[in-house]
Amino acid sequence: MRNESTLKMTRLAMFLALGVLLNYAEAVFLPTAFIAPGVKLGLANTIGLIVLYYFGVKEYIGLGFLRVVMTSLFTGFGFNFFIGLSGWLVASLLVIVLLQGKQLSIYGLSLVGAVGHGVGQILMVSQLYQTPYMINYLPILMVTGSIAGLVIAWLSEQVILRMLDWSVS
Amino acid sequence: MLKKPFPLHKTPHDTYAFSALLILLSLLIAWTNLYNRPQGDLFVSVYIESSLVEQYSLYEEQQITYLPEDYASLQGPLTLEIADEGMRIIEETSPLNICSNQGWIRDPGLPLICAPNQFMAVIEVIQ
Repeated sequence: MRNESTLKMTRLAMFLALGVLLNYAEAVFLPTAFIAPGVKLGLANTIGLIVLYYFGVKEYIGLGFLRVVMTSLFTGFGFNFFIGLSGWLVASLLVIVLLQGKQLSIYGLSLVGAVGHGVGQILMVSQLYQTPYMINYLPILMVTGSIAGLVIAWLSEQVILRMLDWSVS
Repeated sequence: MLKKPFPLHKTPHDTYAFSALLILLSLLIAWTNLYNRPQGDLFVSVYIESSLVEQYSLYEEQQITYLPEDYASLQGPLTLEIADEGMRIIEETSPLNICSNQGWIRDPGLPLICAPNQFMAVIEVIQ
């Protein structure tokens, strides 16, 4: 029992470290902000989906929150932190609510999560700058979020399928 | 360890979710296009720390530099360029340089935002 708990903690810590690393590496090596602010592939979301699949909702929320906080250690706790936090909050809420219906697959959940992330970011920026103009970015973020969500779902599926093989052997 | 709270392979409900998203997107594009159709002369409005700082004609080519000595939220000098009926940020200090990498903005209503500097510029019609 104690070994299982240690194993779980170790695996979650490893996933968290991977998530932070992917988030930071993507921002540095795969900049997509020239399309529009907030546009990104979101490679770190693969970690969220994998954790949700293997560990459950509680761990998914905890790991997601810690990832936002730890990523902000690199970029600072200013406006960017609140924008990231609101994106995570809306995306996580949508995923958790839709998860209860047990109808959507990893593709549907990832799609909704990615679009929800963009919506959350826009809501926060609109609030911080007291401007309605941010809504004009929503169509761009919805299109790019949909594409990114499907790519991330496919990547996560591939990883999970291989992890299943690994856990059996 | 295995919880398996959702299926890995696509379900019909994924298609419904995708379709709903497409409908929402179409409505949003139609609405934003209608709302942002410019009727009059265009100006660049600059906001720092959520306050309107200055408004410039979009048709006069110029470069304006804002300094951290004047605005506490700026992390370094920030230079806005207005030319060819567009605007861009050519110099700024931030961890990821998102706003200077964004390049030219020529569409009314699409804000150019430097979140770490609490800076926003937007092309708009002034009545």
